[in-house]
Amino acid sequence: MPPPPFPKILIANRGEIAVRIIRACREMGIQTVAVHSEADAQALHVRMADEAVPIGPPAPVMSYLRGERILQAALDSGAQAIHPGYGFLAENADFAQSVHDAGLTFIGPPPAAIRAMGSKAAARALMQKAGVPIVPGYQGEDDARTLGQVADAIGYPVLIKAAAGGGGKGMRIAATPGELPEALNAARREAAHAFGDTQLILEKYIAEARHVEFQILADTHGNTIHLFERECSIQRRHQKIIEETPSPLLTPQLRAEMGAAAVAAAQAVSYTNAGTVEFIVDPHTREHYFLEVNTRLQVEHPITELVTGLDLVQWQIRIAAGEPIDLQSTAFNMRSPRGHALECRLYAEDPANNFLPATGPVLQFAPPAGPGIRVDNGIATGDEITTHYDPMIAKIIVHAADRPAAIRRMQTALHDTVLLGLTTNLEFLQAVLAHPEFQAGEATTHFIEQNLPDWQAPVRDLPLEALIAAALSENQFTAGSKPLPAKDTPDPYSPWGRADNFRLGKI
Amino acid sequence: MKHTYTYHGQTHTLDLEPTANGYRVKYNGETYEVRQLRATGRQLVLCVQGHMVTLHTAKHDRERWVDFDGHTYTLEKPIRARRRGGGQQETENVLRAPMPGQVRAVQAAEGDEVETGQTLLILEAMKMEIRIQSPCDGVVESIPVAVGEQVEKDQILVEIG
Repeated sequence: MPPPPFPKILIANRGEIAVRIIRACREMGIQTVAVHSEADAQALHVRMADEAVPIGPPAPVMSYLRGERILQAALDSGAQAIHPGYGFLAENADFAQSVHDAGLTFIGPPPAAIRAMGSKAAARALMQKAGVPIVPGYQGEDDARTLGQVADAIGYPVLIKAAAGGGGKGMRIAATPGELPEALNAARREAAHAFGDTQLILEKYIAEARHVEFQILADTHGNTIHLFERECSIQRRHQKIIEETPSPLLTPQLRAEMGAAAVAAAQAVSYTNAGTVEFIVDPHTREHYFLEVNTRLQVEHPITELVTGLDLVQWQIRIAAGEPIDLQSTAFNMRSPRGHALECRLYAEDPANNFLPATGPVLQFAPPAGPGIRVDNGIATGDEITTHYDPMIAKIIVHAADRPAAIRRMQTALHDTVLLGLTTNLEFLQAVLAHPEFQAGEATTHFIEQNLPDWQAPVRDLPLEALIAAALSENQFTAGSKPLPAKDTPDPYSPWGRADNFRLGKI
Repeated sequence: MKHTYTYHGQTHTLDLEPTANGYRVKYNGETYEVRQLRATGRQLVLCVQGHMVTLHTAKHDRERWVDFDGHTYTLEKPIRARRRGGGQQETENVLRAPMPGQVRAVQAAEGDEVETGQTLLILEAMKMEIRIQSPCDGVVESIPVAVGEQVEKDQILVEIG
């Protein structure tokens, strides 16, 4: 095995991504240091790491977001590099800078690139200069007459947004010039009320949008490539639930065009390491528009790994250590993704309570297994899902020869997934996979809202077998189960003759 | 031995007796032969009427979780109050609200003789109608709630003596 790029790495994260990074490090012979809040003292990522450092109380702001404590933990433990995962400090340019300033390596892009992409307006301006298509929009003089002219130039329907805002407030759609004046007034009133600022911006409204993002990998030797796309249109409340690659929408030509745009976007900010360029695509016109750059590894990176055969976390580590991407190798010269990969995010949530996160003990988690099935989990049996953190239990990922086979493989994998102790979105995921629009590869970002808005799991009749199992489990195998039956043996030391709770091996 | 569980507001009672080869199960007037082939603390492998099935079970407080054939079922053991004093021979059964809701209908009164499975009270919660059924034969001791009343989760609805 070649010497590891870094002898020791600290993982500044928790849950499944921390587990993912630790797995990648172990394969490379890299020592791992986990950090954890008080709530995560016995978490899976802590148990898997070589060393663990407590960093504070459960609340992220007191622990996983404490950059200076985490940096100190890295220095104290002798780690040479820090992997930030996703979320938390992953896109915090100040943290990345502080890591560099302390003489350690931040496994990710340079702070300048993080900063450049941090501001949406700045990112759009940069992309426009680089020739990357952006959603046609306008921000400037916003009197009704000017906006009317702008709207004509952009083309209807237009989306009116509050310049100061977010969260959908101060947003209105005008489908025709006739609708514009009232829509502007309504948006202005709402914006004044929500933000105390009436400035409005206009954008072209893409009614049926598909979310398609491209994986970028760039080394420190000037090589920037893309590793194809991921389609992430199955979202609920702007949170991705199911992702897949390749996108059913993309033709080889569109893939080449968008891939080139993604590479141009990355080069425009001198990007290095792994990142993702997000686009929205109008399925009718196939026009694509830049949305934003995520300067980190994404949750859904496994599907790209499966269709390319690459380990992106290991490549992040190698690139951070200064290694070049080997452009001559077949691994980096694929014309198109191999086969089809799908990911479902398994969440602890209560469908009867508007899909809000469920909390409680994970009494049993038995992941599915079989050819082409991969499970990236952050929790194990015995862990507890709390309100402090994201309620993601695991990512169930499948790879198969084509899309229909991948869907069938995922349906079977979800069927075989056992999660006891918490309500999950498992049945909801099955409902999405079975839906004809999803099966046809036509789902847009409005799919769930349009097709499954008030979905509830159907109440099934209770099978006799389940009732019997519950009754039989009353007297058995709780913690400290019954002693093994004594057997006729002349051996006084035989474990079969013991009356205590001796158990062979781990069950 | 009788085992009673509630599932989505319905009560289910099973009678389980060990036999020479396994168990005899009585449910809803039918009898079934069951053998327990494996019980590892995570997985249960049973032979029910000649069919081998694998299930996963877990419990937490009064919750009983079962995974069978790709679906998860959550059952609940109804609370049984302890026997009072030496003189009392009957076991009290206390039925509690499985979730917060509103009492829609009360279908029994104090002093009524009731049977296992009989609906005593209807609760409306989470847009569902939940029937609170008697887990046993007995006499209604008290119904401390009234129609229209908002109740909390675990609030006592009916006491059976």
